[in-house]
Amino acid sequence: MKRFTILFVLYLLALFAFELTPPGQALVKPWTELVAATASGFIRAFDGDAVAQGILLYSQKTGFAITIEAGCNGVEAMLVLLAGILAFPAPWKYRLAGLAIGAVAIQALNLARIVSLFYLGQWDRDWFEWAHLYIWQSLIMLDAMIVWLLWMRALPAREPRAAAA
Amino acid sequence: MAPERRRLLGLFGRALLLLPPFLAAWWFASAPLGMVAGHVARLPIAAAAGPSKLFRDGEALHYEITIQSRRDPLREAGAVVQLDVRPGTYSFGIALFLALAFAARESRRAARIAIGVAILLVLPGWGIAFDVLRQLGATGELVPILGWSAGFRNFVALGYQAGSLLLPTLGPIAVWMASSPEAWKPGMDRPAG
Repeated sequence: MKRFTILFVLYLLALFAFELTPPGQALVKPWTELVAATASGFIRAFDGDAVAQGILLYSQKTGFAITIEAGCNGVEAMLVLLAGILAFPAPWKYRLAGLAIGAVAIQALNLARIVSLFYLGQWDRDWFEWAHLYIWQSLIMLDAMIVWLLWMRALPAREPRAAAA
Repeated sequence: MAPERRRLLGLFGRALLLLPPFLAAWWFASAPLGMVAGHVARLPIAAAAGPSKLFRDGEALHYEITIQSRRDPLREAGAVVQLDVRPGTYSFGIALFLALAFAARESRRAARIAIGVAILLVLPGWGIAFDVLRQLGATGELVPILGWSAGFRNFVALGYQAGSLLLPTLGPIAVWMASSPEAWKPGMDRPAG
């Protein structure tokens, strides 16, 4: 447990620091734009109102707009999951599968976050602030935790170490 | 569905149901609770910038900081700066911790919950301190007085990002997992077969 904790913290710090560097931002920014475009496409499939411009998502009818910043693109939760998977001993096949499934789970919930905030912000700003700052932040990280716990349970049982001769 | 998986998803479901009422309770107590972390944050602020006074201003914490130049060996006062921080954005994780603690039967222990809450009253001090330092570093007129190196400014940026994006939610989850391993660990040590 101590080894896992130390490795988890080290991996998380390294990944987080990398995210903030120019090469890291060169990956994160297009990803965030893709998130905005996906949310816009999803909303338009149902009521045709949202437009995405870069990381900006706005309503053509009401003029209400949100920008998808760090913390709202699901990247931090994915980094936490990645650090947790790397820090735990597991075959690489299972690590890659866990990352792929986890990324889908986190981004699906993040899409729900963005769409719900888009409508909530047009309805009531106080509830928007609440959902944005507190509820969805908690839910996304809970999602990452549950994915990691389920992934651990899907791992093959480990062989016990052979006794010294 | 495997029993372990069902148990975990049940835990997640109960935590989801408990989160809104705990967030509501936290909301009413957040302003006085935020003062604890606010006072904790004064230590790193003093080390990096200068001594401060702390007041509560509605939902915000109001700092009055006497900047002491790091370039000046005597560290004489260079300026008095006033700024505000919203402690709620760093302390809401207490509600998340309580939702998890009460969602799992194994973690409903008064002592563990009390210790967890005590840790989470102090932990937001990180985010608050780095929020203050970020605001100071972003004020052009203060840069020559503060005398921070480029490395320290990067450290402040990283500390702020970690304090605002990771610690408010990862902190309570980590505290819960550390205080109640039996709530999420059972069945891990399976015999090889």
